[in-house]
Amino acid sequence: MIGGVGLITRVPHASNVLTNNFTQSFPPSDHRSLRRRDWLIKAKAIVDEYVKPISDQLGITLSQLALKFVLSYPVSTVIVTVTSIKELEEYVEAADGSYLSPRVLGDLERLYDELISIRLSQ
Amino acid sequence: MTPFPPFGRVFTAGVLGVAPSLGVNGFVLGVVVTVGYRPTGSSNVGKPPLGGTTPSTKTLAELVFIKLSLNPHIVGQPRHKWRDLPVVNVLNEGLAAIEEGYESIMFVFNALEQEPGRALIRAGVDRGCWINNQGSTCLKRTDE
Repeated sequence: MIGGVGLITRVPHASNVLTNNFTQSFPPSDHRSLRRRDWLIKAKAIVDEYVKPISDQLGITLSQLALKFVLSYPVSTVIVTVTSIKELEEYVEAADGSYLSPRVLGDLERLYDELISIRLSQ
Repeated sequence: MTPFPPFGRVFTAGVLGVAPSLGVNGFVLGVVVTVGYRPTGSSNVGKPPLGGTTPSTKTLAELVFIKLSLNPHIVGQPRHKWRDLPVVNVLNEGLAAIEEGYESIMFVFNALEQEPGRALIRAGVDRGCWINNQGSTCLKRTDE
């Protein structure tokens, strides 16, 4: 059978680690509380050291970089968690059709392959 | 990969393709989902979803019910017990869903959790036909 395969992505901000609103703990009823605390801490450290500088260099917010990263692939859509109009405007602004260059995307892929995937699996 | 939420094993046939017409590339806010549910476990990879040989259509509530029914040991326990569930092989389940002709699949994908998302995206594109945030694209398969 041949047909379109919709590729729906979710959790683009990795439980808020890829935003400027990160907190390490969540209410028990919040599904983000199911993340391991040590994973969150390690992920936040990686973001601060390696990912945030990229968004700063590009002149966009960390949240926008996270969305542009996902939308730089041939995905159908990305499901975001929005809790305010301000966030919504920030996120929609990121979906402007101008996504990451092959160089930046390559840098983020290498960063994942050589560092992030290893550190976060330990 | 994170083992949660339990819908990680649910492959979604949903409302897509509205984003370009809204002028907001790649965004669908409030996705309507009807879903085909795949049984869990590696032994079920490649088998048809519950409800027959074609993807069944179930509501989210039905899925939760099925999920709980298949895992009776967790019924009535606090929600954090989901942590104890086995990790779903998202890659294999996703590849099987693509191969079976599911209309769409849903998975976690972000800069910190790039796999198996990148592999699933490659598989979807390699299949020759996909819907992306720029609209629908379909390539002619060489074996047809």
